[in-house]
This record gives sequence, structure tokens and C-alpha cells, in this order.
Amino acid sequence: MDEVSVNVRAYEEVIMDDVLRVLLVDDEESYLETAAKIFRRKGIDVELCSIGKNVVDILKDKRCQVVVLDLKMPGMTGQEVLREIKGSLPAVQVIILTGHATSDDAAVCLTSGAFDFLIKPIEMSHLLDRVKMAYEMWKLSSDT
Amino acid sequence: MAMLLAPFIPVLLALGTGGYLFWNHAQQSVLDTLTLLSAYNARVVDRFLDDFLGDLAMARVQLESPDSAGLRVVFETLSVKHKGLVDVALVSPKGMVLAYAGPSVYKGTHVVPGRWLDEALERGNSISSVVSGQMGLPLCIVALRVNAGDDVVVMRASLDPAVFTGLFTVGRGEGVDLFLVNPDGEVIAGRGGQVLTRDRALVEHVFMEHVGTAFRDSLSDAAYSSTVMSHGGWILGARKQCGTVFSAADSTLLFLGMSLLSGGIIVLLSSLYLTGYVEKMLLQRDEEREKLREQLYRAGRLAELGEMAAGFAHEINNPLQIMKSDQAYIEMLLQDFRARAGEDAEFLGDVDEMAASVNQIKLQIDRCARITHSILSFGRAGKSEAQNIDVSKFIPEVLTMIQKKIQLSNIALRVDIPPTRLVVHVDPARLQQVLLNLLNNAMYAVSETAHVRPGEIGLACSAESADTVRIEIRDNGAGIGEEQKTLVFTPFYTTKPAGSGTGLGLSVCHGIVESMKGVLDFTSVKGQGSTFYLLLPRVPSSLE
Repeated sequence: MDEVSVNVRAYEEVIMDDVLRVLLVDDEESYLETAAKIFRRKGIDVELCSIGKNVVDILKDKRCQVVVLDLKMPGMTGQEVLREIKGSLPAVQVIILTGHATSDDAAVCLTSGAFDFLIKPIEMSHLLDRVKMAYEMWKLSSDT
Repeated sequence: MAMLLAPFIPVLLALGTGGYLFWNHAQQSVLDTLTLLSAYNARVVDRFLDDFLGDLAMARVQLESPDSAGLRVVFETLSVKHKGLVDVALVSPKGMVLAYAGPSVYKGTHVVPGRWLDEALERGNSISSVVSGQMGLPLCIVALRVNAGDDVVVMRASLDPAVFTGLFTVGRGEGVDLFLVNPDGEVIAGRGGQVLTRDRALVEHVFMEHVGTAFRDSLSDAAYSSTVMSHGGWILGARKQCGTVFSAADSTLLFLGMSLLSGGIIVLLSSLYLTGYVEKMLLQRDEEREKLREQLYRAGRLAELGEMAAGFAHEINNPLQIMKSDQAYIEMLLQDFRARAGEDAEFLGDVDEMAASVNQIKLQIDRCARITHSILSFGRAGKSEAQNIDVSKFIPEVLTMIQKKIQLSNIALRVDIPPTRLVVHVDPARLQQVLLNLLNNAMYAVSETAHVRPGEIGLACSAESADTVRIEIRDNGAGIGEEQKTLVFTPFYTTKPAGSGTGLGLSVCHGIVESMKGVLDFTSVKGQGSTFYLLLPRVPSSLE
């Protein structure tokens, strides 16, 4: 059993607690701050990240079940981050939220395992709904 | 003009060269004929003289006594054969007439000694040119040296020069003058049987300069040929007036001229036709190229604008999201405020006002979002799900979505769809988007003139050609002005009031139809209405 698999097993065991934790990934800090306030008011734990390459580490550390991920970021792009997440933490549900949307991007992301593909600007209530659905999906996939 | 004249240059060159060669050939053949005639007739005269000399020699043998009685026998014998014989005489080397037989009685004892006597004594015979005889008539002297024992006498016969004219049987009927000339240029016998002694007018000066050759004298406009005979150095000349000589050539030149004229007319007419045709083709080609260039320019500009607009849209979406988040957060806070206000009506009023203001912000964010989303769908090169669609079935389906709205707007809808199958290979969702967009535009155009006349929208589809399907949406609305026509497909160009349209509808449609390898275009008359039409490649029935 290699190291990654051990980590995954340990991670999945630890987060059996039933609290929804969302990781918001975007290079727009002001969006992160406001969105975090809204999520928290709705009783959802939020972690914030503005650098793509830190995402997997934070996920492992904070045990988030859902990631809201921007595509266009400096350094690592959203698509690369998505592949990395799905590579090491396949149960984690990723919602892409981007202003740089093309149908090609959507097709690539959805086939890479993204839960949803949303285009900015989006109603926060709608985003919350999608996050909750993703959480349900996480629950389903982690049960199996 | 140069194009019209150009075809004549080779024709003129060909006809000119041909005409020149033909004329040369005609001239040469006339000269050849004259040469033959002169040579032939020279030989005839030579033979005659040979014959005559032979007969004289024979007569000498028959001469029994060298006196006039004996000579008369000879004269009569010779006269039987030679009608032109005038007289015969026997002459001593000193010029004494020893005997004479002829039509008259010779009285004298001497004849005028001449070159003939010396020549005959010296060479054995002599044929002299014309001399004046006893009666003043022109005569031709043929003399033969005769040895009578030890004595030498000369037998002299006079011939009427007309006998030579009688010999010229060949060539006279062809307009050819034949004449005998002595080496001094004096005429011995001439045309038509006349004998024109010393009539120099018969022989041009140039003739004597070209003896023995054939030539054309342009001064007298006549062709000459001459042959030097073996007797007496005589020259037999043949002459033909160019007027007759070259009549054949002239008629040929006339024919050539007529050919040139008629050929020229044909060439001119065909040149005119061809020039017109080529010009028409070139103009048409130019027009097509100009149209294509315009289309390319439009497509290129639209693509460029689309790309740029998409870039803007992407960049604007991010701040819009921030605004949206903040607007959502403010709404949450306002909820709290509302709860906290409780019975404080004034505070509650302030909160409501703030909520209304925030709502306006939300509306405007949404408006921006609509624009950016339209732009993205415009600039997007996404994959489409193309499939075979029968337009005559598909259009009624699309119409059901908008029919109600059209009816409610009091607009008459006329649909003209043939029962034939018109199959195109496109993404139905996109075609629907285009058709709805065009129908919406038509409704808007009609609504602008609703106070002037009842609105009318026509929707028709047909087979434009074997491989093209045409769908057109016609309205009797406001129409498009000349200045606006070039801007119709430009992104963000709109005639609708602010907030009613993004100005992207037709740009998007244009892009969509282009991706279907079709054409979206329109015709319009300001104040009368517009017709927008799509031309889509038709799927052949064998591939449906």
C-alpha cells in the first residue's frame, strides 16, 4: 500500500463527521471574502484559497467535501487543479465557477470529473444550492 | 478600340502577303507566257526563212538558163508555195541585174547594192530587213549566193513582210501584240497583219534595252518579251497591255479586297461581341470579387470583434461575480436589519429603500450578465450537434413557440412552406435560435410602424437551387436605412432603446449561420420593410 492510498484512507475515515465544509478557490480576494461571509451565515464551513497549487494540501488538511474552483488563475490553472483533486481525492466534489467560460472548457471539465460547471456571475443562492447538491453527491460517493 | 483593331492586323498581314505573292505570281506567269509566245513565234519565222532559203536553193538547181525566161519558171514555182513572194532576180556581184521575174517588167540593169549583196556573197545567204522596193512598197530581201560554173551570182527574192504577220497564228487572239523588229529597232511586221515600216511608236524605247528578256514596263503599263532570231539578227517581240494582262490579278485583288471587307466585318462584329462579352464577364468577376472581399472583410471584422468582445466579457464576469456576492451579502444584512427594526417604522422604511436600491443594483448586474453571456455565445466556437432536419417540418415547430406572441401583438403571420422535403444538416437548437431571433426582430420592426399599417410577417422556405435551401422572414415594418445597412451585423449595433437589446442578436445569428456554411443576408427598403434570408446547404435526397 503506497503512501497516497494510506493518506486517502486516513482522510476518509476522519471526515466522517457530517459538517459541510467548502473550499472556495479564486484569485479574486474580495469575492472570496464576501462569499465566505455568506456561506458562514448559512452555516457552512468555508476555507479560502487563492493559489491553485495549495488546493490539494488544504483539502487534505481541512477535510473539505466540496470545492468551488475558478478556472483562470495565475500559476496553476483550474483544470490542472481539478485533475489533481480527482487524482488524489476522487470523492471530493468540484464545482467550476468561471467567467472565462466556453463550451469546450465545460466539456473538458465535466469529463474530468467536475460536478458542475457554472458561469459567473451567478446568484449566490443558486451557488449555495449547487454546493448542497454536491455535498449530497459526496455523501453518496463516499458511502460506496 | 485597340482590342477591336487587333484582330485586323493578322488579317491585313495575311491578305497583304497573299495579295502580294499572288500578284507577283500572276505577273510572272504572264511574263512566262509572253516568253513562250515570243520564243515559239521566233522559231516559226526562223523555220519559214530556213524553208524559204531551202526552196531558193532548190530553185537554183532547177534554173535551166540564167535569164529572165528561166527565172520566171523559178518564180512561178516558188509563188505556188510562197504567196508573199514579190519578185525574184539574179544579180551579179557588182549589182548588175542579170535576170528578173516579177509582177512588173524590170527596166533597169542595177539594183541598189546594199548590205544584203555583200552579206550574201560573203556568207552564202542574207536576210535583210525591210527596204523600199521598186514600187515604194516595203519588201524583205532574201538573197542566196549561187555558183553558176565559175561565175558567182546572187539570187535575190523579195518577200512581202505581211507573210510574217500571217505566221503569227499563236497568241494573237489573247490580246498579245507580236511583231518583228530588226536589230536597229525598225519594225518589220506588226500586229493585226499590218506592216508598219519604221513605225517606232510600236516599239517602246525600253524594249530595245531589254532584248532577249521578259519585263514589265510600268511607264507604258505593258509587259514585253523578246527572242533574238537566228536569221538577220531579227527580234521577235511579244507585248501585252497590263490592263488586260493583269485583269485576272485585278479580279483576284478585288476578290481579296471583298474578302478583306467581309472578313473584316465578320471580325469586327465578332470582336464587338467578344469584347462586350469579355467586358461583361470582367465586370461580373469584379463585382463578385468585391462582394467576396466585402464578405471576407465583414466576416473577419466580426470574428475579430467577437474575439475581443469575448475577452471583455470574460474580464467583466469576474467583477460582476464580486458585485453579485456583495449584493447577496447586503441583502442578507438587510434581512437582519429588518428583523432588528421591529416596530421602528422609520428604520424599516430606510431598510426597504435600501433594499429597493440593492435590487436595482441586482437588476443592472443581471443586465450586464446578459450582455456578457450573449457575447460569450457569440464568440464561442463550441461544438454543435448537427443532424439532418427537414426544414418544412422544423419551421412549424419553431413557430408554435412564438405564434401566441405574434397573435397577441395583432400581427398577421403568413407562412409559405412547400410540401416537399428540404433537408439541411445543422444543429436544430442553433437554427431555432436564429429563426426566433429573426422573428423577434421582425416583430419589433413591425411594432414600430403599427400606428401606420397593420403588421404583417411572412415566413417562407423554398429550394433556392438544387443544393441550397432558402428560408426567409419578411416584414412590413420600419425597414433599414442605407447608412445602417452596413452596420446590421456589427456586434453591439442596435436601434432598440437602451436596455431593450444588446445589439448582439444578428451578430450571433450571422456567426451561427456561417458555422452552418450558410449565408445570412437581407434586403430592405426604408419605410417599407425588410426581408432577412438564410441560404443553407441542402442535403441531397440520396444522403438523407
